[in-house]
Amino acid sequence: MGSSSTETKMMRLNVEIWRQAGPSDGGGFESYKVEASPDMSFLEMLDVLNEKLMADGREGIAFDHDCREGICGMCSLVINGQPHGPENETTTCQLHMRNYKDGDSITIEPFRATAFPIVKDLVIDRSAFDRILQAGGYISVNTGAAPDAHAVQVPKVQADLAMDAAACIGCGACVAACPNAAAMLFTAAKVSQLALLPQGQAERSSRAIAMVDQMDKEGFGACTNHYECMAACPKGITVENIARMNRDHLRASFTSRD
Amino acid sequence: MNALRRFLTSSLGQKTLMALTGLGLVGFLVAHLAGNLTLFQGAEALNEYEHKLESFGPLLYVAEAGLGLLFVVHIGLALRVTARNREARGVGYRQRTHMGESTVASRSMLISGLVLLLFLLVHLIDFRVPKAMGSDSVEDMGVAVIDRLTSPIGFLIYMVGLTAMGLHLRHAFASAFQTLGVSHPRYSLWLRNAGFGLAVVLFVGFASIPIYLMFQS
Repeated sequence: MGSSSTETKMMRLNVEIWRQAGPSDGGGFESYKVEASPDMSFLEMLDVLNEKLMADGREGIAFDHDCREGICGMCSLVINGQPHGPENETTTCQLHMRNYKDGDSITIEPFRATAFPIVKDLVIDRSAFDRILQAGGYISVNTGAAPDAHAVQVPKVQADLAMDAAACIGCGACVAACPNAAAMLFTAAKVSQLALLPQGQAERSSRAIAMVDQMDKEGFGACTNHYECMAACPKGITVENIARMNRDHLRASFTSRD
Repeated sequence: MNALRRFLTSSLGQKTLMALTGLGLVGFLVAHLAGNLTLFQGAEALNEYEHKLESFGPLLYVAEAGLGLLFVVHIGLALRVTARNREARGVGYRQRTHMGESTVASRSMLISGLVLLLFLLVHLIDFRVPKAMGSDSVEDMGVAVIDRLTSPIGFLIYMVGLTAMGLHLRHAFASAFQTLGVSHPRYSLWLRNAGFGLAVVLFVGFASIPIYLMFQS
């Protein structure tokens, strides 16, 4: 009796996956059948499929992944129309196959945005985010010994809000979910995490302008306030950050002396 | 000047302008409704209101030009931002499940906006253009408006325009405040509800006039 309750019941799934040989290839969907255990993560299900494909002498499906602990921001995928799948505040690597049942069909697409060109299959190039950060997502300090932890006091409310914004792992689900492929939630989180802290004040104006400027240059869309980004975000970043960035940008545009 | 140009060419700057002009147009709608409500007192009351407006003389033209500018900036930027947003997505998804707060109203802003624009053009051709050309047919504006609103086709066009207006405002009002950076857990929900309330009040307000007139006649 004990053994039957712990026995893993394998499920058969029909998966349709976007395959694209390279950046200039047209690409299209291909169907596969795969057996998965409910205990597997979504990426492990893809690993199993890849092993099967390679054993058959076919090319494996390329997809991004790294830590598989939900903190690195490398995994992506739009699963049945939802970035990172159906679980709230969960990355694809932390999504488990127990969310699916035998016979289910699953459609897997890459994050879609002109600013995130497809490298191969489900792998996208998210270096546009890196360039937005390079434009102003930093504070200028001399390197050296770490400063005293409590040398600069930060009130609890501010510290909490800054930490909430800093939870962004830069995965790009906000862009994928946005009907306009806007990078507002990402950029706003990166602007906010510094704007809320004393160390971020000196460059607050130039940062808001430079990062929004770079965001526009990368070809991301503009926000039309559907808040799909917030629902898709695996780290629960709120659109309050977008309003904060809008305020910073507006103020900086008219008052900055830089 | 350079900073201003950079602001106006940035996506946030353009959206800020759209929000400001949009809120300006909401103000116009409220004033317009106040004027129309005079019809509850009959055609003569509307005529009196119209004469009052005309008594402003050249100032009225300045106000009209300002109103025209609000429309042109709002619509022009809307088309520009929408084109950029379409380009930003590129290849679309085969399957898309909405999880956030996107609604029929928020997703159809372009369509409701274009329907409103068509309605506006019909509206101008009906009343403003003949007047500008000195036509006799609109000498009695009150009677002309009542005729138009109570004719079946006129009523239908009016209701289609109002529906587009209600749908547009449903998303627009709260969205404009978010764009302007007005957001706080304490009142964001309140603002969204206020946008919904405003849409309902303006829709019911405008729609009540032809319905009242039809019952009266």
